[in-house]
Amino acid sequence: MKMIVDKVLHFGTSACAALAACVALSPALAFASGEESGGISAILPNMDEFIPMLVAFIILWIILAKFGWPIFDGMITKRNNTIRESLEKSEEARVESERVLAEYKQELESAKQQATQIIADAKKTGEAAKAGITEAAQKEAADMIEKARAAIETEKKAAAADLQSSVADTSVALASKLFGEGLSVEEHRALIERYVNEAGSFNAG
Amino acid sequence: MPANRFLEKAEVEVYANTLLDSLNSEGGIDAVMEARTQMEQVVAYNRSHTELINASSSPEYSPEQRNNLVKEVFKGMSPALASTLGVMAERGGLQMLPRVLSAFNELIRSKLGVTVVDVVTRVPLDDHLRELITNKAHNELGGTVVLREQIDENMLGGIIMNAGSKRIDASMNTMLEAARLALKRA
Amino acid sequence: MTEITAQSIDEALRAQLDALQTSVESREVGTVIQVGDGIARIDGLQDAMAGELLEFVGEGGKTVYGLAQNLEEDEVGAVLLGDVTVIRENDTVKTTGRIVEVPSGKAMLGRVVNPLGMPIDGKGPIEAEGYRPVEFRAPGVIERQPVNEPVQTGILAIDSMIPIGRGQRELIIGDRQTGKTAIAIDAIINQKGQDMICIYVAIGQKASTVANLVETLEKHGAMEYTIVVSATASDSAPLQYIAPMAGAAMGEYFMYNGEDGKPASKDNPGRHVLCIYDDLSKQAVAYRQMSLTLRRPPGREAYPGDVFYLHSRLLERAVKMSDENGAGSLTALPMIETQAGDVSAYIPTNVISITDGQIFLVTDLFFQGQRPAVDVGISVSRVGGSAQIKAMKQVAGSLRLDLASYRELQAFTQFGSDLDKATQQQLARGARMTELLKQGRYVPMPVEEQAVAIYAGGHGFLDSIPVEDVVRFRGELLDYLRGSHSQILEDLRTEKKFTEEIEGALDAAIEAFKGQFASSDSE
Repeated sequence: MKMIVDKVLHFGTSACAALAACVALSPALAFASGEESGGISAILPNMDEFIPMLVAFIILWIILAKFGWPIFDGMITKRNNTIRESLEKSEEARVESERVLAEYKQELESAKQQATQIIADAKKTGEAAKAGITEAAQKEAADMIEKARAAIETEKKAAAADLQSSVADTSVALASKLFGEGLSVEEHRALIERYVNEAGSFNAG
Repeated sequence: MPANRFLEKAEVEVYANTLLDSLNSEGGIDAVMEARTQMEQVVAYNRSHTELINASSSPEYSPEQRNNLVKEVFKGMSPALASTLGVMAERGGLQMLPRVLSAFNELIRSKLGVTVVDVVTRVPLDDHLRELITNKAHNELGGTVVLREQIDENMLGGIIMNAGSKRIDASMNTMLEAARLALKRA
Repeated sequence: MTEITAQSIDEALRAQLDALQTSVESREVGTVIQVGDGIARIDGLQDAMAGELLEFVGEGGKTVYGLAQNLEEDEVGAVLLGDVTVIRENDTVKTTGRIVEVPSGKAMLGRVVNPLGMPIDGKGPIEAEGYRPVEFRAPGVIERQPVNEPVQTGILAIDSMIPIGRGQRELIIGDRQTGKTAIAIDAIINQKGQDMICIYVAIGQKASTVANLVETLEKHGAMEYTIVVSATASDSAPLQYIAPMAGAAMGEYFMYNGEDGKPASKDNPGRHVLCIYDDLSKQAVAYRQMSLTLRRPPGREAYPGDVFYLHSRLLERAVKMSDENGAGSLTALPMIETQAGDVSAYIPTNVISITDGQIFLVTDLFFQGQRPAVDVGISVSRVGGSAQIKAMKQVAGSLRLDLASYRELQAFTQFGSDLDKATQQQLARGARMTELLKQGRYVPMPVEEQAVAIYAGGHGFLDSIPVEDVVRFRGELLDYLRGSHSQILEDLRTEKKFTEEIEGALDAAIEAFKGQFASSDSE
């Protein structure tokens, strides 16, 4: 397609050159004949030559105007367009590459940021976990100490209670022995009298 | 054996009434007390030994045989009690004895106007103490108070008084036990 | 610190001696007619009260307590609470004028006691702040208010779909070995720091099981606020019978009294108590034994006629008190063991009808690896919904729907193979939701984390995660949120509901986490 256009262009260019040569030739001939007759006539066209020349010129002009020019004009426009398009294309490509570059840069930046963020997050998580673990460990240790203390305390209490109960057992056993054997009949009777006097009513309870 | 519990109750009443009347007319309050003690022993024995109850309600023996058996067993007891028990055995109702006893106790209280106080001590009571306890019981429960004394060598000291189902336990044993429990409480 | 010196013991003894009452009151006495099978028939005691504590004086002056049960015309039937062997015929029996009482108070916390409140953990005597009757009439209508605060069990499946409110009675029912006790233990462990006092009543269990349980609770620091009442299989039937009521009585002390031990009122709020009865079928069996030996007429399955009343009386004591009465609460979690999943037996139907809902545990699910093996289809909570926090309500609705449609489709699609896209989608969602509800033992989840987990499932974030990774995803997601987005959880905790901001932030966070989550099939 492009080749055809080029050929047409080429043909158009050579046709123009031929026409220009034709036009340039005619005055040169007229001037030569005028010099021979001398005077003003030298610059005046020789009507015999001039009329057919004019007619030929007009015809040529009309033909060219009618058929040649539009082709020529079309060719020019086409050429213009082609040039403009390719210019635009190259401009676009440049803009595109710039944009892509910027994008890459941005992505790189954000990746960097993300990496930092992840590291920061991880650090934070780690810190939190560390703090949590430390705290838990400390609490556990404190709890254990507290529990141990409580256990010791209960052990002590149990031991005290044990001791107390064995003291109670012993003293009551001792008292039993003393009461059983140690009291005289009179003392027993006195005790009974006291108890009967102190005792509650039969009707109560 | 009457299935109706009102009939049964009436029967228990009859036994208790007859027994009390015959004892009272025979030997007065002392006989009644003696029979009561004996009846208590029989009841307590029967709780842990079922042979007599089983034999006296067994259909293998005739009513006369059962009557004789029981009379033979309780020969040493007061005659009125022994014959009552015999009749009960004859009619196959010896297992009602605990209820007869409680009805009997009730009758002593309502019919004779007597309050029986059982007293358990380590040493024998003297007259002063008897009066003291009698007065206390008379003031609180009314009626003629009859003291039944019992000596228990195993007791450490103090006194246990029973009147009906009420008990005042002022024995050393109980008091020391209470003290021991209280002392153990931290 | 206690100092063991001669002087301190001397002082203690003197103080006790001073308080000793030497005067003697008259008491009613009776005589044992017959003893055997842990019961005694007593002659006399005309004035005994039903349920009165009786004092048996046995061989060598040993005292054994008993409980008056049958009051007849001329005898009393009583059950023995202690050593049966020292009692013989003709021994004397005294009335005490007291209904059976148990000691209660803060000193009981952290202790293991028998149903009479006596310590059995060897940690010495317990100083009781007060005594409470084992049988106590439940508060009436006026003293109550509707359940409105949640009990968080920390178990996703329960807190989301079968929520339990403070003052509710929620039955845990299932065959043996389905994890009933595990749920109770997790619930106790999750009460740490929740101002909740827990009472675990073990009825008819092996002593070793109870010992294990106490150790587990201790390990998780849960004994500090827990009382364990233990009537093991070797204890007498009457002890097993009163154990749940004793537990309830110990709990009631905290509910009816404020922190300072004074009666609860508007200005002195009562405490919150969680009572676990493990399990009531054993209590019913003990009661049946007792009743049969007392010669009460047997009814269905040989249980006595009043076994329904026994349980309704006990469970009615679960209550949320009105504000005027201190707004304390007693939540009851009774358990019932079924035989081969038969819930239509006598005791299960009774207790189901008394309670405010039930958590069904199913053997099949348990062996499929779905643990806790809660069958959410038939488990309900009739009143707990109003106690649920809003955030949970927002997400749990869709969870229930998803699971219901999943079950329906699952049954339906077992026959066909060609499924349209929507059905496949629903099945996938259901499978993930079911997976999401799996939870290990002793790892209770805070309610906001539960809500987040369900939110993630309900909003389709799990749809692209392989089913076997769901539990791991849930765990790691929550770790991630706790570490990097703790603000979201904090907001949810304070707001108690999903606002638009929280949802936005949460969506973003879950999306971000999903990006870094390595699923097992991608490797």
